[in-house]
Amino acid sequence: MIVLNSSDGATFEVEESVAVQSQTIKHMIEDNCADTSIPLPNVNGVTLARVLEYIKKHAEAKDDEEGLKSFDAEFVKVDQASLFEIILAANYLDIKGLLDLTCQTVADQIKDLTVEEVRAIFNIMNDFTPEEEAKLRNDHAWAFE
Amino acid sequence: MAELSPVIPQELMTDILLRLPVKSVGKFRCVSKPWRSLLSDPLFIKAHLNLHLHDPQNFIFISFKDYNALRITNLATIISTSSDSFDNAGVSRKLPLLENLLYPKIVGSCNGLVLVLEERLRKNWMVLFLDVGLGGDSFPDKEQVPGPDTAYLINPTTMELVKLPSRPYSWEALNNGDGFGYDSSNDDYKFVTLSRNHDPVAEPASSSDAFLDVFSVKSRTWKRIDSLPCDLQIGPGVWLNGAIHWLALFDDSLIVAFDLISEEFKPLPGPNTTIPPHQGGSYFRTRKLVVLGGCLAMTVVDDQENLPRHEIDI
Repeated sequence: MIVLNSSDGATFEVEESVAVQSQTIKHMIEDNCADTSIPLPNVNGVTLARVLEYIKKHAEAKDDEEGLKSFDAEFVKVDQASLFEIILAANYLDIKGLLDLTCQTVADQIKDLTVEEVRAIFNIMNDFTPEEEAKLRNDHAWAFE
Repeated sequence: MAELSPVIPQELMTDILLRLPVKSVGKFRCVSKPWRSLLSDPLFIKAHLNLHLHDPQNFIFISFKDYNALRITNLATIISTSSDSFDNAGVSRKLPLLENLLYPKIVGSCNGLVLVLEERLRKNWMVLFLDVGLGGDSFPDKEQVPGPDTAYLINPTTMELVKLPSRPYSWEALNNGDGFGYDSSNDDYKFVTLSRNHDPVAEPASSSDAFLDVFSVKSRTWKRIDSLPCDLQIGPGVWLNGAIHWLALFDDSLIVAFDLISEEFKPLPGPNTTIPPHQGGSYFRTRKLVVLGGCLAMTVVDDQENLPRHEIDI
């Protein structure tokens, strides 16, 4: 069993065979940095719990394609802030399947939004002048149909 | 609420944006200057293409104004996510520039680009012939300017259009087989034309009568290849897997592939076929190469039987 410590002090136990779905953890174990426990200062407890839920499910139900598909669909039904936290954690822990799933989810969620809505979600400032923006929209009229 | 969400770093943002459909990529160029830079960057566009190349079917749909297909009226991309439904993610446009082309011929499409040839020169003798027969006012444009064939490379999604320099045209060349494809090693699109100097039915066929002209979009130059491995059926070349394919003339068992990277001809065995060989004489047999489900296929139509038969190859 491997012990993981989140940034806010929560402790989690997980089987090594499950934990190594995270390439980051796998390398730490191989490099012998995992004597007592593995500190994960970039992931908070709530998010780490969710990530562990994902990798546990994907370890135990490995061959059940249908089951995993519906699990994944339910798994990403969280608020935006949590989803972004999971993306960052999946990136830090280097869990490819989880990163693909969450990034694809965000892409699917934003693809039909307006330009203004996307700016709001990612807190992006509009640095075009009204004339510049109008011209750009005109040049890309095909994208707004 | 946006204030509570953590900031997504650039590389993850790029990962997300690469997954967007083409229309969304275009739309989000208007979000901010950094987003415009990223989403217009050729490296991003190339990565996006590679990611989506094998998505469930994207179609390019072309509609013609009249029966003789003299004018193209509409070019549309349609995206189907399943075999019987169409997503609104496609783009449909009238292309005014294309509407003015006389005798447009769709050479082929590759990576979402379409190559259209305006065959002015070759069609001029046909116009003259019909002119005499029908009293001269059945064609809308009497003032066709004879000129070399012009090719246009079109991106039907963004409506961008590039005119290519015309090929070196030989007055003796009777007909052409055109093909269009992508050279992945040089990141170059190539337009090839197979031509023959003599009518193979009237005179004994000789492979030295045929030649291939290759145009590289990147270098914007034409190159001629004079030696062909054998006599080829002059018709549209089919692009698949980095090469353009033609059928060998009078030989059912051979397909010839022109590799766009090495610019060399390679023979390929034809399909194992249960179709009886052409009996000669009374009926026409038409053989054609097409792409079906990612594989090369040959259709055989015998005039007398009127039954198309298909074989799958490769």
